[in-house]
Amino acid sequence: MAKAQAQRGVRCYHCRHRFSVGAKTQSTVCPSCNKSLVVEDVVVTTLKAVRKVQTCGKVVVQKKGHIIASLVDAGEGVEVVGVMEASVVSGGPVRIGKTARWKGDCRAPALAAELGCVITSGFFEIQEPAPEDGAGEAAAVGAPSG
Amino acid sequence: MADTTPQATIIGPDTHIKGDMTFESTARLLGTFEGKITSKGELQVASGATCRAAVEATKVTIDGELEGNLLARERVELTAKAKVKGDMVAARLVVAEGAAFVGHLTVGPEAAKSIGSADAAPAVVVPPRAGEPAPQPKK
Repeated sequence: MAKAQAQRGVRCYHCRHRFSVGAKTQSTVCPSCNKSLVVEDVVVTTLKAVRKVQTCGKVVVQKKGHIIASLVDAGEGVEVVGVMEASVVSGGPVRIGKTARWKGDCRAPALAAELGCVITSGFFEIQEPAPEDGAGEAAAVGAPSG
Repeated sequence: MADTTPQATIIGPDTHIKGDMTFESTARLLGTFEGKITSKGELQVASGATCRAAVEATKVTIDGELEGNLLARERVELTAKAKVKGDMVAARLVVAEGAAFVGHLTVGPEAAKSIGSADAAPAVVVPPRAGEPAPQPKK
């Protein structure tokens, strides 16, 4: 008899469609928009200078890690004890450790900042997102404007 | 024996104050305040309290609601129940998970140096309430 696989809910960072994947899945394709998705956690231990860091999991910036990006999109949260220079959109809590340095905007449902962190600048929007409705989501996904 | 406990100014839960407030040591807000707060000491905004003010103090602890810009020379602490809308500049910051915050944030020793200088001056502006016109700069 086949074993029941543990499942994990994820949300596509392209179209915001929610679906389930196996708990150990590292990457997949969104069944709604057919775009490829990174599902595993992104752990940064050195300098990572890229345009976008996107994952359905967590983004972790370790002590010697340094992200320079225009966008960091993490479905399940962000943990920073190194350096973050990016606009961050997170679906989970953001933790800014005591050794962290942060430069950039942040949108997340929750923030935990530890004493000693340095935030150079940025617009922070820390609040639970408004309840979703289908129409609003469709509009956010690239419905033509104007 | 002499009482050495520091005196705190308590603004009670049934109190609503409009205007400017200045104090030296510690004030604990349990009610509602609208206006401007300047202090060399500590401001505590208790759970259930509402503060719609531009605040400049050494230490600020928020457990209730604050709407307005905040400058803290030393430290800002937002508890899990805190709700803050406005820009914040502080030397040190602690945010408990669950706190809500919308605004520009600058934290660190460099930010602390700018407090009191001309750079930080625009930060003490109370945002207009929804529906109210924005204040016009004086000529």
